[in-house]
Amino acid sequence: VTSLLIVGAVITIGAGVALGLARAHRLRRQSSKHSQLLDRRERSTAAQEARRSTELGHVEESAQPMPAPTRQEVAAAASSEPEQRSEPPQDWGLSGQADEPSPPARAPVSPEQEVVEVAPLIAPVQEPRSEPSDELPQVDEAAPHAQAPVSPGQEVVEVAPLSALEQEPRTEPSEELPQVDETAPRARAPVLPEQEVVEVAPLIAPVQEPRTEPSEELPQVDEAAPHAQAPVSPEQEVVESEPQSELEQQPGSEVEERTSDREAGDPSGDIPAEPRPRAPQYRPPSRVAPAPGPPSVAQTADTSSGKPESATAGKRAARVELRILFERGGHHCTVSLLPVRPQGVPEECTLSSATGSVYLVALEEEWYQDVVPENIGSLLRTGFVWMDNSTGQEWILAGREIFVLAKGTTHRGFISCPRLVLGREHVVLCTTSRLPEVERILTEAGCDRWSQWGESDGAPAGWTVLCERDNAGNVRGLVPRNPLPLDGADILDVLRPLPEIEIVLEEGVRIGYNSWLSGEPPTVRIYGDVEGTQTVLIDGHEATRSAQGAYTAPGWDETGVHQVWCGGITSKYSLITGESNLRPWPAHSFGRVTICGPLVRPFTDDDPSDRSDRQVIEIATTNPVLLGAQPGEIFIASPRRDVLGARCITSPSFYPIWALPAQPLHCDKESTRVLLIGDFVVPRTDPVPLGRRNGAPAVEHWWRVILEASQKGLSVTPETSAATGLWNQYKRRARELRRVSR
Amino acid sequence: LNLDRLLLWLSARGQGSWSTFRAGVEEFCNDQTDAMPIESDDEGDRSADADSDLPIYQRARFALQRLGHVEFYTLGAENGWRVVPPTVAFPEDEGEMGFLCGARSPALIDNLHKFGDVDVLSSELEDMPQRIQLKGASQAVVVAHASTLGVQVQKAAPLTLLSVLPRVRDEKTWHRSPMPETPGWLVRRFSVSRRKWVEASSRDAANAHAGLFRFVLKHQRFYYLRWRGGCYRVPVQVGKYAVIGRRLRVLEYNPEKRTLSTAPVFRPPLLIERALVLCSGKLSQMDPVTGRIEYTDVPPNIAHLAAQLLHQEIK
Repeated sequence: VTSLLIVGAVITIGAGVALGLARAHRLRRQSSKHSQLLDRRERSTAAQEARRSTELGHVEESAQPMPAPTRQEVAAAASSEPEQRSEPPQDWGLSGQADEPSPPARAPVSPEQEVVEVAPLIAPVQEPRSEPSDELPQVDEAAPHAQAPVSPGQEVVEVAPLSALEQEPRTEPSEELPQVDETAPRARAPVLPEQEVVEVAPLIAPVQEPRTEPSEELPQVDEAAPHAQAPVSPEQEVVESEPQSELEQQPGSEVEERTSDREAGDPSGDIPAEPRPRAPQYRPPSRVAPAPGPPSVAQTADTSSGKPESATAGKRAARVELRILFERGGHHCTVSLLPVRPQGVPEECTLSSATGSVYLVALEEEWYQDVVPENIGSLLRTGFVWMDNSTGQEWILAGREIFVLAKGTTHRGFISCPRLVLGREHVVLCTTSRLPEVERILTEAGCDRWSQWGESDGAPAGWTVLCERDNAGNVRGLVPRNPLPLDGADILDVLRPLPEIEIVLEEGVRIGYNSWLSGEPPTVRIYGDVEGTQTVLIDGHEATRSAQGAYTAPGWDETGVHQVWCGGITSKYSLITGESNLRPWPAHSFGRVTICGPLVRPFTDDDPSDRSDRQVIEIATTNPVLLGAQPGEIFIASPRRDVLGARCITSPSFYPIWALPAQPLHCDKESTRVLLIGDFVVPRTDPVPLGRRNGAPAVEHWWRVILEASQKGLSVTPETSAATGLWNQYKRRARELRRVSR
Repeated sequence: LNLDRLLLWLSARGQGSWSTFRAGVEEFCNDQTDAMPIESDDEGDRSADADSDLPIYQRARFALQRLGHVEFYTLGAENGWRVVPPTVAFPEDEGEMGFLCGARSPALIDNLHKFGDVDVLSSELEDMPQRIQLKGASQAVVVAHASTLGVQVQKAAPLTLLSVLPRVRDEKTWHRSPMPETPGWLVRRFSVSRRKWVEASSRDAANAHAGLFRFVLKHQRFYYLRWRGGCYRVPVQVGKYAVIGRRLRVLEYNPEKRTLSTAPVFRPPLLIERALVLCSGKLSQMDPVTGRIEYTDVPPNIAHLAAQLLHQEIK
């Protein structure tokens, strides 16, 4: 049998060498053709895919051809350079395995070997290499060896690729499957955590990053995409990565703006962006009619269960919004910049700008705090790019002469938005030079009156804020009433409302992306050409519009899922009770008691939560000795001496029944009593420890203080026969214990 | 500053981070104005690092924690906030009226309204959530109904709270901690005579035998109490009352109006202030004439007990 195994192994290795040589020649021929066409991201994706295929053990036999450059890249990357291979650890790890006569996948491997072996497979992901390699046969040969030792951690990493491959129709010969099964033991070997991270990154990056390849590259991208978990076209990528709520507001213009921003951003993603030659300028959205296509994601945004992915995921340039807050009375305003906080970016960072540095501190999870640069006036006009040099993350604001800000977002005040929307409250910030044109168009849009805030009122130098203020000083936004035709590629178009309809769910207490607290439902509003709106339905019932513009229908505010329909657009919301099982906890601890809100509760070191429902014991300072039903349960409280008037509050570790004076024999018999502070619980007759050990002193103290109080003749409070009878039972139990102790 | 919806939202979530809280304030405190004077530098106790935030967040935070609705940066809520379970806090021993503290929801309030023998009185007050009072024929009636809804009960809440709190000069409750020695810190000392922070240096702080010092670096802010040669990190208000001792009598009590007042710079530490606030269910109000903050409906025994804890004598 051993001989057969050896022969089989030799045949397998020989076949692998032969196939590897053949494939290397093929790759060499194709590499020159394709090597210049793939960017770094594609290479990473392809390398990842090929590595997975290699690990499955059917690279050579795969009936589905892989992109040639991909294989070449993987082969070149997986193989060590001559100098590196000459190093003992790596060389030893690979060749040593190849020399093993037993099946490679089952060969025992030391942890050191595993690290050495896995590393070459991972390295190409980080540093793709394009040069052809003569070592391809060795790589193909080594691959089955290298795939064998994989830890459970690595198995998790590989789940996604495997599932992705399973989604494709498999055309491999069935006889290759046992090879896959042979690789199962790989899931038992350890792998460093760093390796997992390295391996995961290429799978995600190609999907998130914008693609800038020429169109002739798309087929290759699509070919590689299934291996990168999902085939995503560039159009889908744009739509999916934008916040759906924003797309709902302005599907056209918003995407256009963001796309232009993204184009100006770092296309490579992994590499820190180079400084931009100049600050970006606002470009009006294209008015070319879009080609017919599938329904926009925006229209189904509310049907999704989770919050959409942040628009700023990855290394894409992050947005900087504008915010205007008005002081009470509306006499003064503050214009500030509100940078978005992309995922994974630290809470604090210092950004470099053209004029110095900008320090950002997180406002919340997705936003940084407002910043007000000294030269905000010129920054708004010219635009700017801020960059975190350590990560390459950029923040960008396109310069323009007119900004539109809306009320009713997730932030206080007015936040910048793409354009005026019919029926919504806005503030317009424009350069003083464009003020006449702005006022003319606002009049055409149906904004009847407004006030101006100039530089002395808080507006940036050279800018004017337009908003409405009533006689009481309350600031109200400009509300456009008339849709206006667009006038071409001009910044003034942002002041021309479109006659589009938008369902907006405002206010209420939203506790999830699409869910509100029952009893605090959202206000359903329809923005846009309300006059042209035919019918608004909520759960199929015709909705009525209030004077404030809110729509309601029978049952619209009941717990459950609701759907709003208007003009072919739907939006869903759900009302949930949101009850949470809150419990007291020791928030502030002082000795044996804790404070939680207004609650004062007992606390024990062993399990504070277990006793949190029990009340603390408030006792009279004349009766600090607490007795329980079990002999030995005795606790002497120490009333506060440092302050007068404080209550003696304590928490014994047992349930107290009686409160006695500290020294019954020396107390005033007339004024001091035995207090029944617990329920009517008879004394327990369980065996008690004897002698001086195991709690016997506590037992002795327990019966002694009872007998002393009895000897003194203290009366019992309350003065009832039941209380007196219970006290007599305790006295009898105390006498029993005294006899036993003697 | 409308905190009703914020409290409902916090109650539904239970607990969260400071970032989450700020997001909630942004969403639910839809006050465009931001008119609070920047005086929060003296307010920060445990979360001094949050002082760089816009004042409205601190304003909301202090209101909620003084009223006993939410705890911030405490045990069990080290990284943010946690809502106290719904609780009826009775200001007096045998009083038949209690305040609803902690978590609340529309369903809970609806259920409270369903009890025929308990009146649910809601009042809108500035800069705080609705004050909800539960009033029955007796305390036992209110307690019985509250228990059926799973609501916690605390009798004589102000007196009980004050009875378990240590005095501000109780050194056992101070945390011994060295001062920062790295350069770049902006150091100030609290001047008792001038009642404000004055410039100092790290050397002054290191060599001082007694005094309260503030170390600021960017948004970080720490308070150190030098006391008999030792150095302690303490809540700022505890430190102030510790250093002023009885040299300054900053508390005033009006037995007729049952109001306890002090200067804003000498606002009591959080838990003592919570006890004072729970006497009336209302936050302290600034008297525009005297410029002092006033706590209303404070019984004499509570005022004297609070004064003792603050190492003060009432005028």
